[in-house]
Amino acid sequence: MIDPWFSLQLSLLVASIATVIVAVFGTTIGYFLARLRFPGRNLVDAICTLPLVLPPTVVGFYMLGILGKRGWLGQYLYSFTGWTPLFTWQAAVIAAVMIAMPLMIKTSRAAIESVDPIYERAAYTLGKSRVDTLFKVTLPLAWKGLLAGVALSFTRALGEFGATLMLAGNIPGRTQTMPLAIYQAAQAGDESLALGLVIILTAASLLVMVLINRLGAKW
Amino acid sequence: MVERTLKARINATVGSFSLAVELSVPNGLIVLFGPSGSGKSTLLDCIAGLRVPDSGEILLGDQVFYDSDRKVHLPPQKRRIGYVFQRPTLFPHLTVGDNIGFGLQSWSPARRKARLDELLDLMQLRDLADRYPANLSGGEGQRAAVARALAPEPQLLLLDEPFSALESQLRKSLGEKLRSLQRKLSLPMVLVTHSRAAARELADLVVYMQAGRIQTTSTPDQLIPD
Repeated sequence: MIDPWFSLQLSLLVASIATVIVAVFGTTIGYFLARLRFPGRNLVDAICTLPLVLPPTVVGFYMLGILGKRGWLGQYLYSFTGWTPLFTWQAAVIAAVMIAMPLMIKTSRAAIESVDPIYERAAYTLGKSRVDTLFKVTLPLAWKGLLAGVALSFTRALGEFGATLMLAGNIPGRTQTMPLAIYQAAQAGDESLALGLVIILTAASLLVMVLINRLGAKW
Repeated sequence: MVERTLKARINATVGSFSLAVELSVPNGLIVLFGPSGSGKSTLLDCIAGLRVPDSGEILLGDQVFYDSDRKVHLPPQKRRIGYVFQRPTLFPHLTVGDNIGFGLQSWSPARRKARLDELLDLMQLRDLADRYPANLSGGEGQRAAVARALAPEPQLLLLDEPFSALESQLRKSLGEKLRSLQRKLSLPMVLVTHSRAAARELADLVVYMQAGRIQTTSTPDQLIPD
């Protein structure tokens, strides 16, 4: 049976955890792509963009191949811990991270590239290390763009369907997030439930965007 | 105050441009003068440690900043060189006070506050301490930039076209300010300009550069009028 409140809570939890992970790693990768010149930079950029252009089911399929019980990494995880992330809510987090990551990388890279490097050079002559400069100069100046990336990532994670279905399944009360519950309600012909869920998801996404826009405007 | 002579022998290439200079500047205010594209800014970047030359050596007194033979390259953080850039570089997200205090974050709060007060008075910025850079005039911004560069007590101050955005009256007063600071703090300064008037008024020594080479080194009164 569909449990709308469970699905809403799970979706918010999954999207929140995924957004924290995506914000940290996405910004880090975005910074390297924006500021460092290294061989294979364009290839890294292309690979990071791939989950954005591939169907989420394809990304989910790759992740199954990596994390499944007989998967590339999953087999070791399973033989050492007896645990597999498949069909758990953690798998929904992994799916959301994979799908939202490119958005964060793209927006943070653009945000950091828009910061004139001369500010960083000025900070170096004032004795600040690279890391100090990153946190006290670059990131504060890129703040608005980063915030937009976080908003996009969160709402994208909230709406994740394809990769989640592949990796976490669609188990009511365990891994059924909002989009999956909506799909199931629509399939079962329960249109009023589907409509209710659709409105809640839309409102939640809208609310997040408005809140983050206000935060950005305050700066 | 220790006599600190800056000695630099620098070979650097930037694209198709090549810089090859050798200079020795005693304590004082040295003006690097020449047309744009003559390599003045590149030279300052090398001295500050923001650009690694292809070869050569850079010394200040007995400190080795760069030596290609001995594979020494001290990063800008360790050189204690103040740098006032050509473009405005006050951090737009910080107030004037926080900008000036930016290089002092490892100092004790009491010492930092004292130093900040000293600089606000020195550069006549007392009333502007809480303003953001976007709300400063060109002259105020430039004074704040000089104050920020001076704050961590540098042993050398580099100024890249500090007057370029200023009208002549402000240029004159900032020039006089720098001149008197140089005397007062006995702080060696290297100032880049393409203004002959500024070179003549301020310099102890004028180094004329063209196409990446030093053409002449002279006293300001030897500089031919426009």
